[in-house]
Amino acid sequence: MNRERVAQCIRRGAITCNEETTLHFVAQIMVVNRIRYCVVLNNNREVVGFISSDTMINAFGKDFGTAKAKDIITRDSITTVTLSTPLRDAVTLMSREGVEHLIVVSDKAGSRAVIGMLFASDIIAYMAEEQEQGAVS
Amino acid sequence: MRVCDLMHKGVISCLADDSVYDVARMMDDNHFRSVVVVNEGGEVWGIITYRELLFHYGENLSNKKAQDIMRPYRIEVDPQWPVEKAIEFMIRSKYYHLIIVDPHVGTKWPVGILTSFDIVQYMAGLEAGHFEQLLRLGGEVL
Repeated sequence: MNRERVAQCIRRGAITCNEETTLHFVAQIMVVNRIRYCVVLNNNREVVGFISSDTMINAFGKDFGTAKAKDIITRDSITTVTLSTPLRDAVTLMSREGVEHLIVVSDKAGSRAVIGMLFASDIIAYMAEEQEQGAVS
Repeated sequence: MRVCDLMHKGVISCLADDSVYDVARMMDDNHFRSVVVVNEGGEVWGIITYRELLFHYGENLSNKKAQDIMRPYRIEVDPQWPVEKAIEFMIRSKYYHLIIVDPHVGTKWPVGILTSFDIVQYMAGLEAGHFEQLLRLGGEVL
C-alpha cells in the first residue's frame, strides 16, 4: 500500500461556497447536501480552505447570521493535496491535523482550482478491501 | 433544546476483542463515523472513529483488536444536558462524537450519539436572528 496515489480514492467534484457567505448559509448548504464539509473559494474561484462541521462547532459564540466563512476556515495550506500525492502522505496529513476530508487540486504548479475531495470514509473502505485481498501482511 | 432531542438514538457497538478489520467493515457498511467499544456487560469502554483507524493505514487490521486502537472514553454525557453544555464540552475536549449514557439505568449503557453535524443541522433550521439565545455560552460546565 505504498505506491497508491490520491487519484485512486478521490471523489470528483466538491460542494463550495464563497468566503463571504454567512455561517448560517454554510450550515444550510451542509444540511441540504447531507455533507460535513464545504470548500471555501475566493472571488476568483480559487481555494481558500474548508469548513467542516467540527470547525462550525468551534465557532459557537459568534453570531452565525453575520459571521463570514472566511472568519473560521481551516486554511488551504494544511488541507490540500494534489492528484499525485502518495496516499500514505495524505493519510498522515489527515491524522495529524485531525480532519476527515482533504481538498484535491490539480498537479499544475500554483493551481488553486478544486478537482475533488478525499474522504476518510473512502480510505477506510480501501483499507478493508486491501485486507480482504491479502495486500497487507 | 436538550441533548436527547438532537442525538442519534442507538449506537453501533463492537466488543473490545473484535478485530480492527471487523470494525472497519462495520463502519463502511453502515456509513457510521464512529463505533462504540463495549465490554461484555454492554458498558462503554471506548470509541473508534475514522481518526483512530487512519493511524493504522497499511497495517494488518486482522491482527489488531478494537481495544488496542480505541480511544478510552470515560465521560458521561447526560441526555438531559442542554445542547449548549454539550457544545461547550465538545470545544474544550475536542471530542466531536459524544456518547450519551443514560444515568438512570445504573450500568453505563450507551443510548445514543451526538455529533457536530447534528448540531449544525439544528443551527441550519433556526431563523436568522435567533442565534443569540442558543449561543449564550459561558455557563457552568461539568
